[in-house]
This record gives sequence, structure tokens and C-alpha cells, in this order.
Amino acid sequence: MHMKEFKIKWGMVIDIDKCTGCGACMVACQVENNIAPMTKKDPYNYVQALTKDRDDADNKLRTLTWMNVYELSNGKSFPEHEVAYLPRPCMQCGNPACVPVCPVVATDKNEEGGIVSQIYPRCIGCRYCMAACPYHARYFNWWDPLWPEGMDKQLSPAVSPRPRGVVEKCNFCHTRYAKAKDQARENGEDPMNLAEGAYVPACAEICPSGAITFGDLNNPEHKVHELAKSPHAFRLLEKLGLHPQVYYMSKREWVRKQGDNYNAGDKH
Amino acid sequence: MEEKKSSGRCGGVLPFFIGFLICCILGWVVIPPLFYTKVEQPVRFSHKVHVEGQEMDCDSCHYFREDGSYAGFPSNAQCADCHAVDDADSVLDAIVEKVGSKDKIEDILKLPVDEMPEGLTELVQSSDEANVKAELEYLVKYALQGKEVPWLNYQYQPDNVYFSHKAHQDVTFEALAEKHVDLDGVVDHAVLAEGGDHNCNLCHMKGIETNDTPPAFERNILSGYSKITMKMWQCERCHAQMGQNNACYVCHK
Amino acid sequence: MGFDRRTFIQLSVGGTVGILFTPVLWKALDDVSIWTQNWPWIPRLKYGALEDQPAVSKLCDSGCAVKVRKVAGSAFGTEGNEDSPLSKGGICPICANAVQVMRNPNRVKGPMKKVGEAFEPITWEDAKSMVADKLAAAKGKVAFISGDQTGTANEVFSGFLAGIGSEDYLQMPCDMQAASRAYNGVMGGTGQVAYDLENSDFVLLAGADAMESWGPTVANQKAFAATHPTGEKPTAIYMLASPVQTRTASVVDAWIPVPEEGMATFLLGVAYHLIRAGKYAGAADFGSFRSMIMDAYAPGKVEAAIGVKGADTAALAKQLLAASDPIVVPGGTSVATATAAFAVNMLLGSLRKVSEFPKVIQSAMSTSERMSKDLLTWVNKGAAPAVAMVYEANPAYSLPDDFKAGFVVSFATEWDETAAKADLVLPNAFTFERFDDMQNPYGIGKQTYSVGVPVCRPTLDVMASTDFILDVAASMGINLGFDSFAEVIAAKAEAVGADFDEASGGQYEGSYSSARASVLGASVLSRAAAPVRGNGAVVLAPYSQLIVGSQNVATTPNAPCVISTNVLKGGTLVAMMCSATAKKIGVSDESKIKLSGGNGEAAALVKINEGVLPGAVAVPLGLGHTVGDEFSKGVGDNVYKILTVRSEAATGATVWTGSTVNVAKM
Repeated sequence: MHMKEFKIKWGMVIDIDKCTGCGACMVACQVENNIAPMTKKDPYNYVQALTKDRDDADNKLRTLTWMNVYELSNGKSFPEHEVAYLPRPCMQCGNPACVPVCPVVATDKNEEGGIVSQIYPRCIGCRYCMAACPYHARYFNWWDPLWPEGMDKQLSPAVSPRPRGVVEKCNFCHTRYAKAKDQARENGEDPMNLAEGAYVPACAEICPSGAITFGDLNNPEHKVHELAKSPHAFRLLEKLGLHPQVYYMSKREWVRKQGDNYNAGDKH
Repeated sequence: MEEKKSSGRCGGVLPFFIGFLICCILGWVVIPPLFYTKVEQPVRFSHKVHVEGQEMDCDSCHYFREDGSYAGFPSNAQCADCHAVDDADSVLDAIVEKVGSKDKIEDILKLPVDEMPEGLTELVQSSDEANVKAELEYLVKYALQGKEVPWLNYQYQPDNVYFSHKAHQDVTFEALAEKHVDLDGVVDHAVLAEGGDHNCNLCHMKGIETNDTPPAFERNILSGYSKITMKMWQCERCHAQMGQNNACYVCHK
Repeated sequence: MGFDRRTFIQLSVGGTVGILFTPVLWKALDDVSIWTQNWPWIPRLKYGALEDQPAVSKLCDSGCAVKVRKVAGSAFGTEGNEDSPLSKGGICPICANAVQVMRNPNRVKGPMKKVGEAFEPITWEDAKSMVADKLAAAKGKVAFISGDQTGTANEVFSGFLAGIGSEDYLQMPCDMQAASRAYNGVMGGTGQVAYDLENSDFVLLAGADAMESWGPTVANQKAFAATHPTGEKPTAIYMLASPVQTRTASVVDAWIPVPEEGMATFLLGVAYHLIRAGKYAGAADFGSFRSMIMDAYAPGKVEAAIGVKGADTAALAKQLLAASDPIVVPGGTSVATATAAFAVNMLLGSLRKVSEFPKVIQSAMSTSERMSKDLLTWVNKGAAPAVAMVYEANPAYSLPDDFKAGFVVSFATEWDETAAKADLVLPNAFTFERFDDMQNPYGIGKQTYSVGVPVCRPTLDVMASTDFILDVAASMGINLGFDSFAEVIAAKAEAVGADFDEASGGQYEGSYSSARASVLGASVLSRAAAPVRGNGAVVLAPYSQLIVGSQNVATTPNAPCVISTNVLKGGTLVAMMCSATAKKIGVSDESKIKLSGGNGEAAALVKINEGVLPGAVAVPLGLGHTVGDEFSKGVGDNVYKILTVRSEAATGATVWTGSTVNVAKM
């Protein structure tokens, strides 16, 4: 399939050897992107006695975690056992599996920067894209977003709240990109040549252990440009050929192997 | 049977045309205005007084912030440059004393001006009766209580739209003319023909900068949007003709 | 021509066609479709100028230096403060959710007093006179329990307590207390032990889960990140000795499985090799320390006691000796472990300290004085003060044993177990709504001071507890020298030499100095270092994750979907153990079990995790709240209640290392 090329390609290099799995990125992501806490009761439901409670965060199939930290294990017994954490944003694939299956063009990869867009008012909630995404990076709003009383007094102005019935996903905090471009214009700089650090998603910004490096993969002045070429760098399920714009790094071979879903005894 | 048929044959088309005509008139003339309800701005802000009377520039209130975002509506803090309220609490206390209750502060506006507490009236800078009324309304309802004015945005766009004034600040009339863009239905022909230094009129109401009484906000009764909220096809048409990207995330969030 | 059926049909058809030639239908369809995009219960966003205001967030134990993100003057989130040495742009998962905690409907909305079983609102003025009366009647039988480790607020409270004639100022049990009692008490030093992780090339974390829950986690993680630049060769080696492969274990260069109760033994086992290699420490008791080590901590004996092989301790010692700037960091509330770690640091010549900042309230306690008193020992001696005041702590939840008092005043910001039990609840202003500061958060490598000013206007009827106490003090004729806490903070900032202004706060960065202890603590260690275990079937290895909460702060609103199913599953806490342990006690993955020990029991689901020491069960602290919002109340069980408290030999510290539980299948 033809792959669109962009002059700018925003990407991440996530150093798994530095991720402690603390979850600050996941919290920051929810705050930045107006993902409501999961509440059981719906104050707008006037027939609550007749209906079931909403799901709470126990049901991990219903949570909205644009950024999700997975735990990896090398599968060995004590004391050879090792553990690692793998944060998983949307991979912003070069050749996304989700885009061609969308019947209403609610998701597309067409903007300079290569971020896969998701337009909530356009989405009809058919969830084909969720089925297509091998990274489980897309989430369906099973419930309306409801903040506990008073908590929505001020939401993040960056992202529109989504109603029940639409699909959403990580977009590298796209409004931060738009704001960075406005800032560059204000400073008289070229918005198409942002300096490293001018645009950073919430997860990368908050990460206390500096596991996430963010930048333009095509720009030699950005760190990710070189890091993505490191011998320790890899991408998830590379053999599917979706060309993710998110790279991972680990010096541990078992981690790199799990990144490509090797089955036991598999030869590439 | 025969007779009926013949009578039907001769006058048969007429009721059809009558129905057609009535509905056309209804559909083009009568119903469309019913889609909108007129809402007044919370405060009768006079651009005329501020621009012509006080010789303020547009960018005293509407300007780019340091981060490149656009301050469309002024906040109380900006208004306070001229309409400063140094001791809001004592003025409020005086008002409460007059009206008798903390919950009825706005009732002070029903009183004649000379019965209002001096602390309040001395804050007023206008002399014209209508302007005094507007100013008092601003002071009592908003400035003194520390509430921001919920200005109605004629160009309201929903939360899923990201519009950058910064990206559009260099869209000049010359540039549009040069590219021979056809903005039929997007921008008023008169605006394009007239041109000028300020490109604000491309999207914003023409003549608002010298208005004495702000025009009513026409709210769509179904969608709640403004009558002149620009639609997606309008944005796209100009983008396409100006050679700008129409990717979803250029405008959406 | 009459108006018959046929005419009507023709008219209707004409009308229908006619309306199709007008925009009405299409417009209505379009508007309706837009209407369906804007349900009234989906909140609309508010826009305005964006700004970031520096503040201190004292939700997590060590506190985070944050910036509060605001739009049009209203806070919506937090981000790191690049200029602060505590943050360097990062923040912990609790403080990342701080604004949502501030807006949580579980906040205490105004001062309340207990009448019968229920609470009734009272005014602040009445609360002040009520507290003053109770204190006057208590005649000095007053205790103050503080969970704030770093704040100058402690000076106001301890100064006030001294004014009413009580010395019962009690700090919630913490690692800082153990370190302070080891260094200032056992070893005869002065100051606070510092760990200069930033400049160390070898870090041995002895039970300190430094990247998750120990000390200034964000600063620790930043130090780790700086020494492990992405894509380059690391400049330091980090090792973790602990019974569980915690999150810190996922990134360190090596994990050494060591039982918590055996940590002191393990460290002395390392000291054996150091002394054999000729290391010496200039302490009065070096001779007896040396002979104790040589007698009791030879590799064979260490292996017999805690199962760590002599070759492993020897290899570790070799690495410590080879490093140019090694450091050992103890974790936990055991004074023996802290003493042993400091002794090793002295042998390595890397024991450092930061000096305390000068006090501004002269009658107040110094930090080391505050840390000297053991809360649980005090409780278990049967202390029953007439009045107990609780600040930034939730002892009813996080103390394994209950405390008793005639009249309890809680300064809780949110409803918690202690507030529910209290007779008077006086909501403290939220951390962003008050002046507050952080002096040398324990674990930091150099003198650090951060001041926060109120950046959010309170929306509830709350009051900074410091101002409340200053008012009560004034009404009781106790002169602390200040009328408001804002003045205290300004004076503190000046005494510290911080660059401070009332609008944006301020900070100060100093340095460390090398620590001088008079003794290595041989006499104490000889009695206290040996591992002590209960008689239950398995040893508990409790661990903390900030995402679950801390001693004081319950799970935050956005945290539940972040909490792993290895911690909490289907509302039941997860007990992790290796397959050998599971086999021994006859359980398997997903088995439902009941753990009983201490003062209670906890239901759990078994999860096989080969990163847990055989014989140990790893369980998360911070779950099982009985009071609070839906994100924490009734979620899992409270592990604090199954811990067995004991008094450490020779040091007298209350510890719960080596707590055991019995396991029953459910």
C-alpha cells in the first residue's frame, strides 16, 4: 500500500529501561485530554433504580487510557525473573490500519506531522478502527463522561469532551502542536521547523524518569532522529508493516523480542 | 364520474401550484427567521464610545498574547485599566445597605441614579444617560462582584474547533485578490470589494467596530450556534483556494 | 370549485414539493445533527489566557514542586516546575491529579462538630473558642500528630504545643524518622542524612523503593534519568535490595532479593567485606563494630540468616569499593537498618548530611526533635491525652494500632477515617489555597527549600490550620511571635535566604556537608540487626505505589484506571507470591485467600509473580479505605491492619518488618 510521506514526522522514542511504570503519564494524559474519572452513578439518569450502574475503573475493557502502561515479564522463575514497563500511546502509524476501515472518514492521516486524527463529531461509533488497530490504542466511550460534582468546573481547554458512542485515541496532545505553531508565529519563527522541546505531549513532559523522548523523526536536530536508529531501538509488531512513529528502546534482549510478538520457537 | 373527471382536469394544477407557492413563501421568507432567537449582549457595550469617544485602538482590547493566542474578549482586568474598582467590598457593602440583602445586589439598578450610593456613582465615567445605565450595569453585575462578563461570540465555534487567529493574521485582501479566490457565500462581496488594512471583516461583522449598541446575537434554536457561525465548508473553501491544508486536525481538536 | 379531497391532496403534494425547493428541511436536518453533537450534560469548555503558577503540592509524602495550570484564572491541572531541583519538570502521579483532588466533592466543606453520631456545621469563631476551652481544660494533656515531614507549619504547631505545656508532638511513622533517630540518636550526629544520588556513580538502594515511593521520588527519578541518558552509556550503577521486584526494580541494573527484616544483616554482611578490604571509619566504637562484624556477619552466617549468598555480598562490596562515589540508601522504619546503612556509608567515606534550616519560632521543635518521638510506642504505652490534634495525617487508617484521645480535632482537607472519628473537623485549606513550604524533603542530596503561596482562591469555607492555631494561640495568650502564617513563611524564607515574593513563592538551593557521627552504633546493632520474624505461614512484604495513594492521601480520581490488575482486581487486592510460595501454601493463580495477622484480616487474590522472595507475599498498602469517595472507599482491604507491630530491640523503634500472616483459602 502507498504510504504518505510527510516533511515533519512527530515521533516518540520510549526508553523502556527508564520507565518505572509510576503512572504519572497516564494521569497527566487524562487531565490534559478531559478524560473523566470513572463514576458508577449518573446524576442525569432519572431511572437509576431501573438501570445498571455504569462501569468503574475495575473493568479495564471499559477504561479510557490513551496512554497505557503495560507490565512485561521475562517469564523466568525466581530469582532470574525480570520485569519491565511499556507505556503505549497511539503509534501514529505511517501506514495506519485504522484509517482505511473507517466508513465515514472520521479518522485520517493527512496533516503535516503525521499524527493520525480522530474527529469525534464525525465518528459513528462502529468501532471498525478498534478492531483494526493491533495496538489496542483506540477506545470507545461506553459511557458519557461525567465528572464528580464540581470537578468539571474547569476542564482543559485543549480537547473537546466526547459523548458516549464515539471512539477516541491519543493524538500526541495535538492542540499543543497547534499552540506551539502559534507561539512560533508570534516569535517570528517558522512554524514548520519547531525547535526541540517547543512541542511536547503531556506524558513526555511530566515523566519523572525521562523515559519518553519526543520530537520530529525527520529533523536531524531533534534527539529522536538519532535515537530511533539506535541498535537498541525497535517498534512494536514491526512485522505487520504499519510503520509506527513510536519507537522503543531497551538494552534487554527479552524486551526487544516481546516487542515483535515472537512466539516460542518462532524464527522471525 | 365523468363530470368529476372533467372538472378535475381543468382546475387540477391550480391547487398544486397554490400549495407549492405557499410553501415556497413559508420556506424562504417566513420560517427561516424562526430558526433564530435574538439574544442581547449581557452589557450594552458601545464600541462607538470607546473607539470614537475615547480614541482607543482595536488592539487595546483585542490583541495577541505572548503565547500567540488571541485575546478576543477583554477580561475585567483589562477593563480595569480605565474602569478600576479599587475597593469593591465597601461599594458592595453600601449597595447591600441600600437594597437590604446580599442576594438582591442587582436590584440597585432599578433605583434612580441619584439614589444610588455615592461610592458606586462616582465610578461611572459616562455622562449620557443610556451610557451611564450600561456602565452601571457592568459595574454592579460584573466588575464589583468579580465576575467576568459572559460576552456572546457572534462567531461562536464549538469546542471541537481549534481556530488560530495567529495563523490568519496575514490573510490580506491583496493576497486574496492575487489568488483570485472565489469566496461566494463565505465572505460578503461588499467586504471583498472594499478591502482595507484590517482583515477582521473577512469573518467578523462589518461595522461592529463603530457600533453604539451591539447587534443582537442570533442564536439557532436547535443547535445553539450563532447565525453567522462559519460552517466547515466555508473554512474549507478558502483553505483550498489559498493552497492551505484541509486536513482534519488543521482545525479540529 | 369546491375544496374536496382531490384538491387537498393536490395542495399537499404541491406544498410538499414546494417545501423541498426551500432550505427549511435541509437547514433543520443540519441543525438537528449539530444538536445531537451537543448534549447538555457534556460540559462546554471555557477559554481565556493560559498561565502557569508555581506552587508546592504537599499531597505526596515528600511533596512536589509543581506549576498549577490555569485558564482564565481557573486551575485545571498541574505540571512540573523546571526551575525546581525537586521537580526538574516532573511530578508524581498523586500531584499530577492535585487539581482534581482540590475539586473533589469529598472535600470537607466547612468546620464541623460531632453531635451524637452526626456532624453539624459550626462557625470558625465557635470552633476557635471550643478548641481554646478544650485545650485549657486539658491542662497540658494534649498531643499533636503531624503527617507533614517538611513544613514550617510544624514549628507553629510544636511551638503552640510547648506554649500549652505539652511535649507530645508526634510524627507519623516514616523513613525520615528512622534515619533521623539512627543518625541523630544512635550515632550521635547532627542534621539530616543526605543522599547525593545526582553525583553518585554507584547507588545501593537497601529497601528504599526510590523510584516509586521512597523519599523525593521525582528528584530520585530525575537523578536516575540524568545518570542513564537515553541512548548513551549510563554513568552510574543502581542496585535494589528488596523482597519484591517493585517498580524501582524494573529499571535498576540489578535486583538483589533480600527480606525486609534482614536488611540490616545484609548491610552488615557487606560491611564485612569492606572491613576485610581494609576500610576504616573514624568512629569511637570502630573496634567493637569491627569485631562484631567479624564475629557475627561472616558470609556463612549472613547466608544462614537471610539466604543471601556470600559470593553475592562479596561481589557487591567489590563494586562499592571500585566506585568513586558510592552511596547506600536505607528504606523502611527500622532504625537498625538505617544505622547499618550509615555505618557502611561511613566505611565508604560517603556519609553526608544537610543542615537544618534555622527555626523562626523559637519555642518550636527542631526537625530532629520532632522525629525523636515514636508515635506507636506512645500509643502502645497507653497514652490517652485529653485532646489530640491531627494534621495532614490519617492515623485512624494508616496506623496498625488504634490511638485513643478524649477529644480529637482533625484538620483534614478531605473526609477520611480520622475525620470521621474526630469530634471536631476543621478543614485545612488545600495545598494550593494556603501558604506552605518544604524544607529539605528527606532523601534529597543538598539543602533545598521551596515556598508556595496560595494560587487558588478557596471555594469552600476552609482555613489554613496554621492560621487557625495562631489565632487560638493569641486567644490563649501564647505568643508565637507572628499573627499569620504568611508572616511566618516570609520570615522563614528570609532566614533561609530564599529568593521569595508573595506572588510566586520562592526557593533556595544549598549544598551538603560531610557527616560526622561519633559512633557506628555497634552496641545497638549487635542487638538490633538480627532478623525477627513472626510465626505465621508467610512473611508480609507490603509495598507502596503512589498511584494507589499514600499514608495520608487516598486514591485520586483519575488513578483507578491506572492501577494495575496486579495490585487490585475486581475490587479485591492482589497478593503476589512466587510459584514456590504458592505451592508451599497450596494456592494458585486467581485463588481467593484470606490473610490474617496483626489486628485484622484482608481478602486477596493470588497472583504468581516470580519477582517475590520465596516465603513472602507482596501486598499493596493504601487500599481499603472505609471513609472517602467512590475511588477509594471499599476498594480492596487495608493492609496496615494486618501488620504486626513490634518494638525493635535496643532502638525501641516501632517496626513491622517481619510481619507474618496466616493464609486461608476462601
